[in-house]
Amino acid sequence: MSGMKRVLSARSVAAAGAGFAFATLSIVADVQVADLMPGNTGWIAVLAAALVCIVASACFGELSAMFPTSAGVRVYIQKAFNEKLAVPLSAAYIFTVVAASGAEAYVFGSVFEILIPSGPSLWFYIFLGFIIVGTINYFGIEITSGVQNLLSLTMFLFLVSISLAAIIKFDIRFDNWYNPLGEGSSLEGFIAAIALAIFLFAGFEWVTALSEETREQSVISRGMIGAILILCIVYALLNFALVSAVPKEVLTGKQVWTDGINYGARPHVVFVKVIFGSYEIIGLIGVGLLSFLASMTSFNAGILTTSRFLYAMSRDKTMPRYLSKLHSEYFTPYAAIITLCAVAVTSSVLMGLLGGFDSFTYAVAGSEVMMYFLAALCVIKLRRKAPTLERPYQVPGNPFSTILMVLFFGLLFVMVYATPEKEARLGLAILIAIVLIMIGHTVLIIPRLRSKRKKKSL
Amino acid sequence: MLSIEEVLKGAKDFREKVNDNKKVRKLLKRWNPVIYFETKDSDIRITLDMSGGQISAVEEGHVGEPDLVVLFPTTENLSDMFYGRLDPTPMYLSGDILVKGHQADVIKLDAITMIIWPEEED
Repeated sequence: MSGMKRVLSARSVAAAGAGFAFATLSIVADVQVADLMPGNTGWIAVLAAALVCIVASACFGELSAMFPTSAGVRVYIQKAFNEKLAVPLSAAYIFTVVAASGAEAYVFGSVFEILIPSGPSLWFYIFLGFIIVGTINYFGIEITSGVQNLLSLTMFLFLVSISLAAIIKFDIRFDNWYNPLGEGSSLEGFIAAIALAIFLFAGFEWVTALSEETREQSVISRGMIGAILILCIVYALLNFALVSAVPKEVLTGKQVWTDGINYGARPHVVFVKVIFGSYEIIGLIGVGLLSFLASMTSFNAGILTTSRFLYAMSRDKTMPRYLSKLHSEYFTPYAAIITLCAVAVTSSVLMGLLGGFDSFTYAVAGSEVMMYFLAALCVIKLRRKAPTLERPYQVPGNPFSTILMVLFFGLLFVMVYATPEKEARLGLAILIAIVLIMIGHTVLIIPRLRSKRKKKSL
Repeated sequence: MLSIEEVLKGAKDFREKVNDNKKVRKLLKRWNPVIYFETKDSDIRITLDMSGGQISAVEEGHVGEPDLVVLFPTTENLSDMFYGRLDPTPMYLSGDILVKGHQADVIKLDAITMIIWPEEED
């Protein structure tokens, strides 16, 4: 295909991939990973999860090179298998991310509730967050690749700096910082921690939706690996630093801190407090800005991508027609944007009433691993089904490597939910519920939608 | 295999349909992209230049630098799309038609198809 005026570079793709995954909820997930590991060895699980993601990125690289389309995973599954499998699984994946935005909003609100004790309640910040992101998306205000690069760089530098400062100030809390199978641990626990740590990279593969904006397909593959490496450095260091600076029981909310506050939904606030000591006000301003940037960029990326996905599904008659409404001036899929914001707000409200915000890290980690599993299966199936199709990039070592990936990702999916934590069971229940709803939608609703709608000829 | 003349004739027919459509003209009055159409099975290349909500030029080959590049699997498909015999949306969504360009521009291109190939309820 011919070149274009505007194209994305690998650096911009990496910044976008990292931006999707830089969320405040990720810090909660980093703490959960640390809690599953002995001593100070959580960073090893983060590193291992990064390797898993790099392996998975090879599959996404091959598939996106064959089908460089913004419809991404849906097209891969449809080409390899069929639409009946593609629609519910890709939609379940998307809706899990949207529901997790509710958890992100909850954490975002919890941070500001603590930072401004005399300010409004948690709900104000939750609604404010969605109003800001909904408005940005409604009016089609774009975060340009230059701004996205700057945001990702700012978050990277802030998190790496405070992590290094904490390690220098507090040294290593535990003697065991190198043996993930040390005292009080097991191989199952280590694998479960790796599986949960996948959450920290959730969204790196969303950059395949940017395939249409790149000149060469290798840009997507390099961008994915760049995003994974950025996230790996940030979260491995942060994991090490969090555990060195603050007791795990306080980070996880099992114990309150000396100020009488439970920091379970906002571990980075107590972390910054102890690092900055008497200068904590500076640190807390920094943490407020960081939370705001992290939540807004991940919300924005989430709503932007999922609203276009929902719009495309509606155009394809797999979602109700009203979701394909475009704004007459800004050309944004406003009906899809409003609907998604409403789903995410409902998710936040349910979390506020019923609890369980930390279960969404398990739900998203499971849906991610499910997608890696499906991506590897798609590679195998398409190599057999369409052997002559042009493949600008190929997974090395196929079929042995891809068969191993299918087995490994299958095992990893089981291990996400193999921990005794109640959050894991609730996370599995959330994922199963969303998948079942989407299967029901595919079987019962889509045939009706399709029979109801037909095209006029010109 | 269709000739370039036949495809160009279809492209000009498409231009008339778009330019005659008041809604397209109104909605896209501030969108001025250069769009390349290509096919996998031939060297046929068509450039559509849009300005002020109208297709101002239909030309053979590549002219100018494109904002959008649309790759059809066959020349037949491209011609059918120009004549309104083929709705490109399902083919795009299933990955058979490939588009290179900014996603906001892809949505605008889709808006044109939505206006000139409207849906009706039973």
